[in-house]
Amino acid sequence: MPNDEEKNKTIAVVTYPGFALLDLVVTQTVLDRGTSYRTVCVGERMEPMDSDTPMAVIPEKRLEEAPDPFAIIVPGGGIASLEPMGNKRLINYLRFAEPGAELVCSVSTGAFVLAAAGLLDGRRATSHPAYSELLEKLGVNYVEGYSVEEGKFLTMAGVSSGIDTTLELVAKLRSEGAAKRAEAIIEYDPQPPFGAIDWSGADGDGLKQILDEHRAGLEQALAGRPDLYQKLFG
Amino acid sequence: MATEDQNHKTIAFVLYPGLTLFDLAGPLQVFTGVSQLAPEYQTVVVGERAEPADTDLHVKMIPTHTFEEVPHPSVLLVPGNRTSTFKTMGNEVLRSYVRSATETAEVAGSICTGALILASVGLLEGRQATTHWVYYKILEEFGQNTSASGGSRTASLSPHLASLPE
Repeated sequence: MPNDEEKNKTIAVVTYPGFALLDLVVTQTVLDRGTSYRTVCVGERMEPMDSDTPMAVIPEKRLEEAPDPFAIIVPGGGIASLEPMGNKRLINYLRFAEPGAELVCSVSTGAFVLAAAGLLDGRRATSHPAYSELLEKLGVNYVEGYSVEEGKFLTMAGVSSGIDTTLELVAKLRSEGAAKRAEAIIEYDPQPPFGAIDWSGADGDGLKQILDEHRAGLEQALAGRPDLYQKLFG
Repeated sequence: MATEDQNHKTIAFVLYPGLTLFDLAGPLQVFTGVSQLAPEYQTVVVGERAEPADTDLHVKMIPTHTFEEVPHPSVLLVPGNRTSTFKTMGNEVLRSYVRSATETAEVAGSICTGALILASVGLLEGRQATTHWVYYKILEEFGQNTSASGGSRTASLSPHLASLPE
């Protein structure tokens, strides 16, 4: 049975200050309910870390404690995803763990963290549509889509695509039956009460102002990576 | 600080050890967005003590406030789990908070098996309620009329709560 093999393998969800809590929760929950892989929230320190909600979290393990994950998932966090691009320990962890990982995933703006580690160079990838142009500045071939797969790199557009894509991942890793079962356990049966999203408003028009507001903080966060700062703001 | 001012509304999520984080994170994310657009809505996570609580995903969560600090939220929401929810049904401090906060709240709600906690303190007696499909028979034993549904559906429940008349 593949289940025993799965139990010994880790799926590391990599957190950083300001990360989108729901990105972590949906991917970990769907993989937990649908497979036997051990999902682990990892962070630089096992200390309280702010999320994009009022609630802080404490990661289960430090980065160093998950040195050889089967899969890596980096959640989004909007503008907060740009700061960890300058976090040497986190970027080094991704570079160190990537060669041995069979799957490298991001949700939404988590793609920026993978890009900062050089893992998406020239690759097709998706992110939040508002960040498409900014992501392209880092040498990523942005593709509009719910999720984009290139080799072992799987990038997802956002929270709700994170649920769908992770369910598809369960079908691929285990079976379609397992994915259907996971759907039933989490009672996933979306019926948005106010209908579908009008994507026409989801362009990058508002992003410039947000970037300007965070410019000083980002300059500081990316002090060790002038190459990235130059690409984003130069 | 959580406020009881009439112009302010506090949405309080109840945190307890071992809860299903998905139940909490979905509506929490929606209400956090609401708070950003309409600052008169404050979203808080309340726990018995201001210390980290474990969750089903082994990520520890830190409540933003204690029960004592938010005695009268406008909206009270209780998430679920399996065995952890059953254990929590016996926690007198939490039970008494859920009971007293509900008395003054405009809306008291539950997600998934959180309904069992509301039911266990008698708040759902004779009322229509829903829960996870695995658990609805247990909920019925508390005397509710149930229909099975919930879980990820809560992400769609949240906007309804947010649009309640003031």
